[in-house]
Amino acid sequence: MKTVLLIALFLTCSAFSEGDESPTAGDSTDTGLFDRIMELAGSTVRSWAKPIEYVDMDWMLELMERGLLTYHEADWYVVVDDEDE
Amino acid sequence: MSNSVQCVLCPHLCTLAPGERGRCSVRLNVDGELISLVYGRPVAVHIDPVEKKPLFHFMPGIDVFSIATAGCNLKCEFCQNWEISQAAPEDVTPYDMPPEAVVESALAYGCEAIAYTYTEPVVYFEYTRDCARLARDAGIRNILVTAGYINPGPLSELSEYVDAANVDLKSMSDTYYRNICGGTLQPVLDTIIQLKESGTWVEITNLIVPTLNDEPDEIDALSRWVLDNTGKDTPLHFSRFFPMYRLTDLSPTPLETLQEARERAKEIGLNYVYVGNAVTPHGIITKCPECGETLIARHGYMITENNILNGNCRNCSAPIAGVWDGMEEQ
Repeated sequence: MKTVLLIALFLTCSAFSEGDESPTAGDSTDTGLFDRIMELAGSTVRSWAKPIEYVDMDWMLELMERGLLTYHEADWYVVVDDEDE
Repeated sequence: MSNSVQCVLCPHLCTLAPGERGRCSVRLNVDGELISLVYGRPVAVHIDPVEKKPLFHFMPGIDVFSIATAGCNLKCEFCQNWEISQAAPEDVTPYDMPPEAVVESALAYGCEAIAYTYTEPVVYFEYTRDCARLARDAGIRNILVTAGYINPGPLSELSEYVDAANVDLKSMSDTYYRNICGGTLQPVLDTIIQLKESGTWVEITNLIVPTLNDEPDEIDALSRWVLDNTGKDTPLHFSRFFPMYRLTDLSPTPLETLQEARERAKEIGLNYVYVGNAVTPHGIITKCPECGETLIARHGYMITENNILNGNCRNCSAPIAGVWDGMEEQ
């Protein structure tokens, strides 16, 4: 489910980003892009990248209340379906 | 419900359980919602000449209000701003500066542009976008200084407000990107092309690191890619490496290497090739590709001679690629 969501999202974005002048606007002719998205969506281990970390949520909350951090709603994320767990 | 989320802002596509933050260190899953920890909390606020970005063909001589928050989605071992780019937000003390204050400050200091720079504006995406939107309304230009590690959708949203960008193209090797930078090459190439297609003025920087990406073949491959995919008028800046962060055992890039890189790129067909972070003959002079006369001479970041009139060479009237609005004529 997650993968389907991602592919739909990225292909939509890709078509959107091509602009009106493209004769193929609305279609994705970039099979390389599709392959890359599939590769990335299936890749959860990235030993060469910075790690994903747990944080101390109480400490985060305290820093937020002191104004040193914000809890500003982010864009560009998807909720992971239970089926993927 | 698992309350896990997947951030789709950048090609890392981090899947985060509640209480986890992404590889950028600034985007955190709080009970199933992704939040930005750094919105309106820059850790660096400066006024720089536009030449420092570096942008040599975009409104030369203007002052640029420049901001950065903590965080980066890459981990380049040579990073010159690693104290803030590799810091978690709780490790550095920020300013309280919402977008309205950024734009008001830029106006108050007479800056004609705002740059999102020093660290990585992609990771503070919402802050960049909201500042840029307000700046556009106030008649201020927006400059992105980025490694370009972002997905097409968010970039499309952002580029609507971006007037100019300097993109780091660190290497043409995916292995280099993975091993030295903690990223991958292809998304960066895609970003450069997408920015060009969006109408953003784009210049490219390549940091030449001795023994790691300084082979002539790689310089040639990078120059050819720039030529073939962005055109001969895209300025390319070869930048000098200095020992920094995790690469303190390497020497600074020899000046000869930088000069040779510049000559090779020009030979390949690029019209505007510069050398940064170093003093070399011709390295920061813009010359007319038609008649060869000096168009813009610089001393450091200061313009000492300007022979561009209404976007054309004063000598031969050839049109010169760039955005020359507001440039004082001498």
